[in-house]
Amino acid sequence: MSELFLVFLVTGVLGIILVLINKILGPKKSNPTKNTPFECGSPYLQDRITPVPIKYYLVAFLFLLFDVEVVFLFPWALVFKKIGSPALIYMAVYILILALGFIYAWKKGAFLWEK
Amino acid sequence: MNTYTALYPILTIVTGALLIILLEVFLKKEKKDYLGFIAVLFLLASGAECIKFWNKGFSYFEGTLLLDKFALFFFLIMILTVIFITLISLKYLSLQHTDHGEYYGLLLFALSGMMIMVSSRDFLVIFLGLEVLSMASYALAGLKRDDERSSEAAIKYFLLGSFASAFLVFGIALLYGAVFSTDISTIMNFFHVETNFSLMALTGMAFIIIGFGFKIAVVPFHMWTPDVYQGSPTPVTAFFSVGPKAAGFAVLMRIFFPFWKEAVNSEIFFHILWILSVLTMVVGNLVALRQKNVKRILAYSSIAHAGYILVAILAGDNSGLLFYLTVYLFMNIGAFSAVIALSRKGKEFLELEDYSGIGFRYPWIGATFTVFLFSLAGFPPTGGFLAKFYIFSSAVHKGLVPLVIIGVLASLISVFYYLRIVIYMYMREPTRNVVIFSYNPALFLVLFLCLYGVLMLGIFPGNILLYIKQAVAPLAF
Amino acid sequence: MAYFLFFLLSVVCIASVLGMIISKNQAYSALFVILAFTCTGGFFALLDAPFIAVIQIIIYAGAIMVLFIFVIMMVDVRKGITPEKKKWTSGFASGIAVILFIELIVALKMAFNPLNTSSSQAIGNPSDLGYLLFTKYLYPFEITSILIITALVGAIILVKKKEKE
Repeated sequence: MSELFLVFLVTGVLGIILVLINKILGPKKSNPTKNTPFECGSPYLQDRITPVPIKYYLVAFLFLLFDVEVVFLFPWALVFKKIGSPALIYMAVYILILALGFIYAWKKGAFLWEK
Repeated sequence: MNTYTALYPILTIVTGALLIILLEVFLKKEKKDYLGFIAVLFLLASGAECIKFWNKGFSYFEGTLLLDKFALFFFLIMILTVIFITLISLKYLSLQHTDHGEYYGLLLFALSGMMIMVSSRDFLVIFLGLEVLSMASYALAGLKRDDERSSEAAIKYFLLGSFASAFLVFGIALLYGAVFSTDISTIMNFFHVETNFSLMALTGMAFIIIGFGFKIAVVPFHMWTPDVYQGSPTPVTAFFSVGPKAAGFAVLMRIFFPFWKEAVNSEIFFHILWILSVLTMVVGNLVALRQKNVKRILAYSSIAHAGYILVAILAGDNSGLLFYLTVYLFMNIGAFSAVIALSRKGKEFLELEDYSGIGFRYPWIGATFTVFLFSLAGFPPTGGFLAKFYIFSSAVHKGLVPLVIIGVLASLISVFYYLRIVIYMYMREPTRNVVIFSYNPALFLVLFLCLYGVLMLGIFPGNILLYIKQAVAPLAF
Repeated sequence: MAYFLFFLLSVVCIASVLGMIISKNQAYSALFVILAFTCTGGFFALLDAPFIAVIQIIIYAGAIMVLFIFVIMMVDVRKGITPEKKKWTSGFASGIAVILFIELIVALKMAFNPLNTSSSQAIGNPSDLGYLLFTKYLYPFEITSILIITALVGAIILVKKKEKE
């Protein structure tokens, strides 16, 4: 518990420190021009985030699915020696099913960018 | 028979689904019409395995895969359902611009989810099976992508469905917290001991009822049903009204049959289910009276039927319940096939007005549809009559007379709206120009098989009852 | 030490959830949720379940929040969604708040004599968990692959444009 918690603590505190240092040490001079969104020097073209198309969502969703898949690899790697070759088969079946899904997604063009 | 052969029926279905989605992307467009037949092949293979296993059933993976006769009977019901659905979809998909090859793959995935659900005694596995079923169902509901109603159906089903799943998983967590197990028999043993009064476990049970009440569309968890049934492609609606319901009731039977016998605190759940059953029968039938769309009428009728089946759960009449589900499969899929038959390219005829005069213009469709409606209403000599009769008589034996009276009154109300469709078909002058695409051999095959099923079950129920008696035996153990 | 960490995490967690509700900008709300999820991960770490703690961060704070943020980006956020004000909602909400408060007090009383903690030992370290996953829970584990592929097919079929005919 303690090692893991140390990781949490270090990263958390580090995050806070980085933000705070910037706030404390950085000079605070601002003028209206500086507050406008940066657009390569020209006057900005749009005044907000415009809605993004739904195709981004598919990418995010596929990411989520394969992320969940990968999570199971961690405990598998840990017990692989203990269980031995059956573990290889168990994981092979699992990965095979998802690999078929991957092939399907690929051929379907889910990774292509639609114009 | 070792552990892995026991997986064959489910594995065959999953393999079929994977093969279909791969073929979908690799095959040329013209050849994709064969995907439906491939699905039927795999379904038949899986069905044959189930029949082969009939006398060998056992439990595997420490009870999480339970191939008893009860599960195998449900496997066969569900496989038959999906075969019918596949056959009625063959022409429908290309006529209604929904010809995605993945459709059959998703159907098979949904089927595998249902099979996983009914063949387990472990809540964890049941939940996973339910999620597989739900994921496939959400996609199936929204398959008609150029139709707004279909998208609405998918979104509604998805949002409310995940809400219900959350209830279910919360219930399972609470039960685990109280009993330290997700195994149904262990949980029931816990309820059996008088000193084990646990509010946490009872709350868990209540949440599980909510979760499944949603799936089987019991009032007041039925709000999604009419819209989803109306918006989904019609074969998918037929699937929703039979498949997930059968799976949900199978799990409820596994839970409640030992529960009534053993549990010390079962009265409160008895009362809850009693109220749910009455509400479902009354509300389902009353609201159906006001509907003008045939799909919505059938949606409310399927809600009402869930109420009748709950009566069987309350009466502990397992064989009656299985018989009802079997008959319900034939009559409901039959009715939906008749609705699908009334369609042509890009257009379905779903308003009640469209049905005026159909009985004379398309005599076969009219006649079969009439038989299915009579069966749904519960007239002899159809299977629907016997099914209701068995359930209500066993409920009377158990002393549930008020419930039966309400049930009979509710089904009297239902006669009105079922007959209204028949009256439109035979006694009204046609007001609209309904011209349909009538060459559809697979659909007519299903229509006649369902007709055969409904009449056979109504006149000679003996054979199937024999198998049902065997199927419910493992529940009693 | 553990108590101190628990209270620290609790305060941060509650504050971030509050921040999520209060902030008008949905993007900030999403960031607050990430913080709340991270704190929940910390709770799992305190319960001696490091694997679940890490999962909480990888899956929830990582992947699922990406989905949330995409949804937020898909809708027009300039105006924000003005909350509807109905009379009964405030009454209803305060009723629920009272119930929650009572529940909290009860929970606090119970907290000093914790219920049964015997079950939490088994999930302790990742290798025990892995062993269970590949022996006792092998069947559910393989089912998850079917679940994932079903979700994949469903998502693609609903979102992907049809090929030109």
